[in-house]
Amino acid sequence: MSGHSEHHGSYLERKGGMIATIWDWATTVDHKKIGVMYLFAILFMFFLGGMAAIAVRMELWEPVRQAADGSFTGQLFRPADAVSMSEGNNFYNRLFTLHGAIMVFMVIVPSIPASLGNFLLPLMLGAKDVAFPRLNLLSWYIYVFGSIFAVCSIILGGVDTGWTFYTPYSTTTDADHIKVVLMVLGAFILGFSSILTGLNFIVTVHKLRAPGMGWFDMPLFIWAIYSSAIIQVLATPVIGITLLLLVFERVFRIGIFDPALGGDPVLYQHFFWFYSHPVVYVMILPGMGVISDVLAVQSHKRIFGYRAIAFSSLGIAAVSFIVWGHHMFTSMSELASAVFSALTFLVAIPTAVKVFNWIATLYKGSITINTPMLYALIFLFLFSIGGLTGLPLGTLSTDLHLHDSYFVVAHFHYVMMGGTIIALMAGIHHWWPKMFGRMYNETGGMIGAIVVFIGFNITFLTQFLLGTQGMPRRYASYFDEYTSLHQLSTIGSWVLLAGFLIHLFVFLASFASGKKAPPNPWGGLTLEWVATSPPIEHNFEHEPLVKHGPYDFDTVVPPHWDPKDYPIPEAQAGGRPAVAHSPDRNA
Amino acid sequence: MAHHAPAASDHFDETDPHGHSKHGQHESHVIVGPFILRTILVVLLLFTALTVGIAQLEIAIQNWFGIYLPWWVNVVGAMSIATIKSILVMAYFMQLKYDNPINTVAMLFCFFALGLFLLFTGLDLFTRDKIYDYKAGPVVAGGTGAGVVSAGGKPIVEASKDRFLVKLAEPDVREAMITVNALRHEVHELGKLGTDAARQAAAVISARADYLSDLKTIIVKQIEPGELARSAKHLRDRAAELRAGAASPAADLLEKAAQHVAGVNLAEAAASYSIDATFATLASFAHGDHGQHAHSGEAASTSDRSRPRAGLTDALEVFGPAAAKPQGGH
Amino acid sequence: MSSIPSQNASKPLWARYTHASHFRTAAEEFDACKLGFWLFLTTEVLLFGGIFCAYFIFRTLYPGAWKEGSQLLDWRFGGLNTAVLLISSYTMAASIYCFQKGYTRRAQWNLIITLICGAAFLFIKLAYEYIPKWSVGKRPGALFDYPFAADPHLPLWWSVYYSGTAIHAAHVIIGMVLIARVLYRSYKGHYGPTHYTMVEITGLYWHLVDLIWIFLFPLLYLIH
Ligand code: HEM
Ligand SMILES: [Cu+2]
Repeated sequence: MSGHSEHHGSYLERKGGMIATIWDWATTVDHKKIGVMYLFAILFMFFLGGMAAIAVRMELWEPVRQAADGSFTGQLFRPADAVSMSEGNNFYNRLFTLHGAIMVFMVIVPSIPASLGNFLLPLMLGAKDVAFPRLNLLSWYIYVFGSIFAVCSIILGGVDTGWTFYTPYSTTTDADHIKVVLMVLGAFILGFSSILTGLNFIVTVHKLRAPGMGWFDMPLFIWAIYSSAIIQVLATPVIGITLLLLVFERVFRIGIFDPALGGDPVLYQHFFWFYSHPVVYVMILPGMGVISDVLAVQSHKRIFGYRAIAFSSLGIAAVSFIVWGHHMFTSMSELASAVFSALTFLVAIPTAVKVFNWIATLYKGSITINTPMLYALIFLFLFSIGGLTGLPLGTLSTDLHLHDSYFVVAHFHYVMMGGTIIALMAGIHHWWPKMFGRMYNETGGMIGAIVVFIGFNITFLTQFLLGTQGMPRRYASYFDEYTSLHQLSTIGSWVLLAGFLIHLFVFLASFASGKKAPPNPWGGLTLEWVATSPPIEHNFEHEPLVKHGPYDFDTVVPPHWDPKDYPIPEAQAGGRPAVAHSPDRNA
Repeated sequence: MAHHAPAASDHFDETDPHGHSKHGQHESHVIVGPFILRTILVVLLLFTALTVGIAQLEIAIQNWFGIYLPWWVNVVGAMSIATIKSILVMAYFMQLKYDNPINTVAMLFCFFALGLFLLFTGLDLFTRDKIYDYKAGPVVAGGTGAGVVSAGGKPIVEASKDRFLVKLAEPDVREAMITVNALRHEVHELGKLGTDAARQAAAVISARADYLSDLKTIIVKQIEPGELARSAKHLRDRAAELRAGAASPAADLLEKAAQHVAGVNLAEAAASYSIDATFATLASFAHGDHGQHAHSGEAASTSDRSRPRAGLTDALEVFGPAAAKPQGGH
Repeated sequence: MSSIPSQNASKPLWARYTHASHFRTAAEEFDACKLGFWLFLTTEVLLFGGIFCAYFIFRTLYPGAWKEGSQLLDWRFGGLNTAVLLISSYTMAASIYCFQKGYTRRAQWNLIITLICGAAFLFIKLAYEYIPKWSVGKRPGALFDYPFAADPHLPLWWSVYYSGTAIHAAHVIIGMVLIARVLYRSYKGHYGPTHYTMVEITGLYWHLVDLIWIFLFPLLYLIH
């Protein structure tokens, strides 16, 4: 490492004793620390949601039956005082709502933008921080605050509405208001966190790009984060008012969603999906950004179709606002269904543009197979399945059969888990050396990735079959015919768990005894690789000056590259050196 | 926002940090003076008065002149004024006019998104009362065919069955059917004789019966009395031929059949039969005891009145191949 | 617009202000703050978008109830409140002008008038509209208890009316808190010709509150 780091400590450097360090982190406005705090909070929530998922799958091991003597079979988890099967089922409903709400609102939505995005955005732009650092810390606290609301609701018994809170069920279930209201307010508050992060990012991209960095010199990760931030800002307030009206409806019965008073429960669904469809792109766009960067860097090749990928991010953001009706084909008017179905197919276009460009990028690249790359390839495979199965769901006639079945469950797990979470894993490994200054064990990481891949497919491919055969979602009981597929899926969930445990060990081992990471282990050209690993507190010694594109692998030697460290493609090795930082421009 | 110690900024060339223009920075500090602000306030208040005035005017016109303006007049008026007012507030009070255009773009995007929200939600809610045909019933592989409807909205197949039932209820049609069955009974009797001549006679009668029972003949052509007479004549002619060949039992039977055909009095029958009786008759035919009723149609009309109305399938079977082979009535 | 840090303690706070170090200039910081806040305003518009959407849907579905409902509101109070808010918007803008010019006293008075207008708005709303209406049973949804309703969907009108105006009133209160904070800090000398970002941003918020009312007023009171 260069001599500079002796003067400027890494951002991870401890400031005094235990208490002082904790205080330092709790009050930090450093985007890197906030990003890391988000990462750990999100991973913790992922763990909680994952445990709920394992429990849900255990419950589905056998169909629940009530025997003649009043005892249950197949119901593993139920409150001790449950005397009837419906009470037991009630508990199952709470379980999957817990899983869904945690995973959507507290894991997938903030996952990549809040953790990797926070950490990388200013680094990639060559800035010292995001535009509003204190706001950034505030959104972290809002996130924690909102999560506490949700956890309180769970401790009080949880809710059984599903993560979608559909009326009239959500306004009538559980006579005491407190649980539903707490959960709904939790989601409302988390929305604020999301909005603040989004607008912070947009302003940062607009105002804090390093000198020389035009819009088309930005890494594609930034484009993706930017597009998803637009959605966050424009869509999230609508869920805010929706949840607020839901609380009013629940507490005062104002009737806007109540047909008895002239309201319309499907109006709630419109409100909900006006937010929640765009938000599925908040979930996936950053993942796509991660994949764009990882694929280009790990195959040391100029990304194919830079502008097409950048604009397709914006295109997805735009189209995402006019397709929400595809979640309501079974409840809308025929005309609206037909229009929304036609519009839904539009989404496939920019999505496919990306996938083809990624594949073209791989072509003739000098590909390094390591954990991030493996995860990127897994992403391509799983996300394609997820996206393609969206099409039969977007087709009116097939959706009538598949709606609310396990097919939908499989579809969105392929895109959210197979897409977002897999991309998060790719990103964590890709930038792990940068974040923590240590390498992880490559073999361990690759084994973990393979186990996750296998486990994922066992778990969810079976669910496509269950769905087409008619297994509805959100039921604890089912016909005996489904038993073997359900059991296969449950076994898959254990494999998946094993895969993530392997990763946990790899991460812990890296903290404990990982090799010191070089500043640029993969040979990337974007500005975060100019910074040290881990970066210093203000990111860069000097403000960087950007003189080449983010993926000019054919003409630019990567920063900090030493032929002794690792080979790079011949053509690249002969290129001009990357300009690491701006010279003293006043001179 | 001075939470960072002033640091590296002093060595930085301020003139052009982005490599693009610097002018937005100076323009954002434009000072909007009191004259403009006051003018805008006055205009806004005037517009408020105007929009109230228009609404009051609408009511006044109604009260004094009894003229009811279309509902949208005031809506368009009030909304246009509100839009102008809000543009004034945004442009001058909020200084969008002097600001970095990106702020205006953000606001326009947001109005656009709001428009989409209203538009597509309305698209559903306002067309909700349209039909839901496709949710009508269970799905059958290959489809039920029920979707092909005729003018009355009934599936074509059902409608044609209905038409047929109406037709069946007409007295002459009914009579013709009874005749047909009488003939078939004769065929049966002829069969018992077992002679060549009898078989020939049976074939003749059978052919006539088939002719009469032809669905198309009954429904489309509407059997008229002349048809029956012609059939009777035909049968008699054949009877004469048989007699000439000394096959008298068969000739007798043919003669009987001919008499039967000739003896049908359509007008009389029409008066005495009800549609229910017809159905009952048809049903009993279908159930295998038609021979009996073929001879005593009158009896059927009284004794079987209590029978439930036979289904259409039963009625159709009368004409089908099964009915052509009588199963021994008595 | 110099941003060279000055250690001269005798200068007022606003003159000693140095921009955050991750911005290159104070102007850039100011611009960024404004863009950020405009983005926040878009979220506010869309938040009210939900109310506008409910209004739009139910107005079209139940025109009778909407006509009856708007006739039950008194346009004079709505109009008065519109004027009050417009004036307060003016004083808010004027106070920014005064800070820009360095007329701190006048700026503070303008802020005070703005606060008074906000309070007047709330008072009129509460004393002449909410309380009298609520007490005769003109209430939202299941709470409705008004015996002279002609249209069966009238309760829904009140639901939209109360949700919309109550959320708007909440924004008025938040705006007043922000203005009070700016006023307090202005007495400490935080704002002057070279630094008034917070005033400007608070102003934007207050104008948005006005903007929403500019639409709510005709929608609720004037259109039959
Ligand atoms: C090509 C792109 C896509 C299309 C055409 C598509 C289409 C659909 C359709 C039509 C449904 C509704 C199915 C039903 O309930 O009957 C659905 C459900 C869902 N999709 Fe997608 N989808 C696509 C991509 C994505 C992505 C990228 C994500 C998230 C990262 C996603 C997340 C979801 C979720 C969470 C649900 C289920 C919501 C629920 O009911 O709980 N989809 N998708
Ligand atoms: Cu969707």
